Amino acid sequence: MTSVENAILARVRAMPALPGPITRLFVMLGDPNCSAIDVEDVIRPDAAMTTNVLRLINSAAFGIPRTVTSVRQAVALLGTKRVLESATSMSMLRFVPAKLPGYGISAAQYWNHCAATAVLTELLVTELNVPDHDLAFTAGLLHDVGKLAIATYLLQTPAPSGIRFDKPVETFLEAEEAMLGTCHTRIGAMLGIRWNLPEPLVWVIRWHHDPASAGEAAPQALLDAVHVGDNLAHMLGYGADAGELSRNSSRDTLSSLQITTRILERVAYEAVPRIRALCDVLSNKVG
Amino acid sequence: MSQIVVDISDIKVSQDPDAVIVTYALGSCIAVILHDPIHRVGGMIHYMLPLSKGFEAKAIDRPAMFGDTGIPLLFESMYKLGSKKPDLVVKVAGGGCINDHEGIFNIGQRNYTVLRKLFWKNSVSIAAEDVGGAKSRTAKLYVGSGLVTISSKGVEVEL
Repeated sequence: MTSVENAILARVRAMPALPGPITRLFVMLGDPNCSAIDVEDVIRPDAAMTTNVLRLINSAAFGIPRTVTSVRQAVALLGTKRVLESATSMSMLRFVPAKLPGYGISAAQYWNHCAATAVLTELLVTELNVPDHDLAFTAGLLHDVGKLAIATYLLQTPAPSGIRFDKPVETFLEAEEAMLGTCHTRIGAMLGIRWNLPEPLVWVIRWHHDPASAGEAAPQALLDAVHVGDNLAHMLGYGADAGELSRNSSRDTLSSLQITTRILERVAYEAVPRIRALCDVLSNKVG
Repeated sequence: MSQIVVDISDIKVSQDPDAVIVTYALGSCIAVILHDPIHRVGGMIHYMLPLSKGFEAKAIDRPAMFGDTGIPLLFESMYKLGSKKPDLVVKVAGGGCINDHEGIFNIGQRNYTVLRKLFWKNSVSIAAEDVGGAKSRTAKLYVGSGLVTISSKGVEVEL
């Protein structure tokens, strides 16, 4: 382990744990028996969380024809899963720094990419009939949390401006490795463990660039879907970072999901209005 | 100098010589950039997908999402400002791709193929292009001068 990786991991360990209600939301997301009352019990006592959830749900991202005024009404109209996803999405906004040095992007661009990956991944699992895909949206949204830890480290380190992960190497991940001795997927997995995120999300964060290497215990279908959603988001120009398109597509993933170019085009076509509406809310929130 | 942003699946034209038409983050999408030096007008499309076939409802609502419906619309928008086809300087940027050995992610290549077919059928020649590769691009057109620049990996060059 390099000294830089050690230093970044020390920052990860020093980062505050997720507040209790957010941790509970993540646990509930992975629990098929979670009820509407459970969701309400967690969200409603938190005024800021309630406001943010209602703002997102009333945005064009959801296209509900009337104004939703309570968590209970939101659950009745959209179901527990959608409301939980909205709550977790809005809860994560506070952890994004205004700028992500090294990646050459702003907080808004970071969220654009995460929102696009979330929407594209969810549409992919639906299009491909992927089983057990309840976490698809959230996995897409959180797949790059490692970049937050690395950016936070660079912001707090003297003279970080010289680091930019766009060196002429094979892939973006290799550029990170060459400059830091680590990468956002490894750091992100450590952060996911620190935050007690559900295990499938930690797998996704760790292996979304190389799903074929994850091993037998991994939630492979979810991991594959996020890998494709992430790549497609970059292809469509959502939140392009310094690595641009220098990333690999996993051959095993494409064959196991039986994806065709036409399917990718159909998913892209469906996704654009939803991504735009979601980005509007998230970008506005993070300024 | 006013800036006119072309969003994904969008077309913008301008006859303001002080305007800069710009589109950001072209991955596999393609920007077709038109400039008429005689009338000093310019236009740009940022289209996402090659063909509207199978997506007809969306193509009516948002023709600039597709190459086959959006590119003709861009030319028509320029004609409405007084341009004639022979006067138009045509430049093209985008069509990038990730490292994909299977060719499944070749949306950029398909976007470019549709464009070439359309141009060949309609006798349109390309003055300059920056297409393909694992690159994301930002394209700018200075309407007054016709200068086109492409930025990628932190470097801006004239096209």
